Amino acid sequence: MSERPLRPLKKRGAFSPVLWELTIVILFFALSASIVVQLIAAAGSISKESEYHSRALLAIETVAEQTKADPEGDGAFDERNAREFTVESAPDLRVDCVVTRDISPGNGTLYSIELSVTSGDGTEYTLSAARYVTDAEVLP
Amino acid sequence: MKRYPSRMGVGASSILLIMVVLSLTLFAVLSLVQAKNDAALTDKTASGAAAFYDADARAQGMLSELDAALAAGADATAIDGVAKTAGGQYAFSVDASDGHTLSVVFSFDDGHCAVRSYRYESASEWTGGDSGTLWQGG
Repeated sequence: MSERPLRPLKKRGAFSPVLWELTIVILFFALSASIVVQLIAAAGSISKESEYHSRALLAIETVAEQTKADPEGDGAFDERNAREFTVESAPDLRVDCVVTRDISPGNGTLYSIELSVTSGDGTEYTLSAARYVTDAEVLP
Repeated sequence: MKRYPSRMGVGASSILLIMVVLSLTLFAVLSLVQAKNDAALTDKTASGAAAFYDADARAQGMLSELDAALAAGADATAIDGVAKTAGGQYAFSVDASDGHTLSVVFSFDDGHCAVRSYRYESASEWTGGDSGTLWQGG
């Protein structure tokens, strides 16, 4: 008959300290991860809005310079001496332009150009420009 | 079969978690700061462009008034802000809201204004920094 050393009886159903720690760690990690995910989501949202604003600004400036170079365009001015057109720079980026001409200066024409871009979330970016063309100047 | 005792004691997972959470928080905060800086730069660019186009529009309006006045035989220098240069040309400047100035020089030839110079420049005087810390090439 062999002798076996006496061992304490294992308690069934009781958590060991390591398991307790793991449980707390997992809970704390879940809490921290939710906060970190919110931070990253906020950064992504700000970055996306900023990127759209940047593209809108570039598109508005491009259309402004094109319109200043040729304010008459297709010459389709209505009775209010205004013409409206839209330039689609990208599928999600449309620049609305209103050109108003003022022929009251006796020696030329003053064109007022109003540009706007409305983003998907309703934010509107606008820019105002003007161009004076003397009667002697030949437009393209 | 011999069973090896676990070497992972109490506290190891906590240390690992602290490192992981610190790293994740650091990266999240860095990305947020970067995004906010990008947005601020875009806003500054937009306000700069708006200031330029506003000054440009006022200069164009002033040109139309001056053109009409000169065509009617009036003296351009009687208009506020317009000065006659040494070369017989006229000059005026328009201040932009972001500290720049749009300087316009024009002449009146053949009954019409002709723009000779159209410069958008900083109104503040530029002062060079001390180059003592820069390598001067030898």
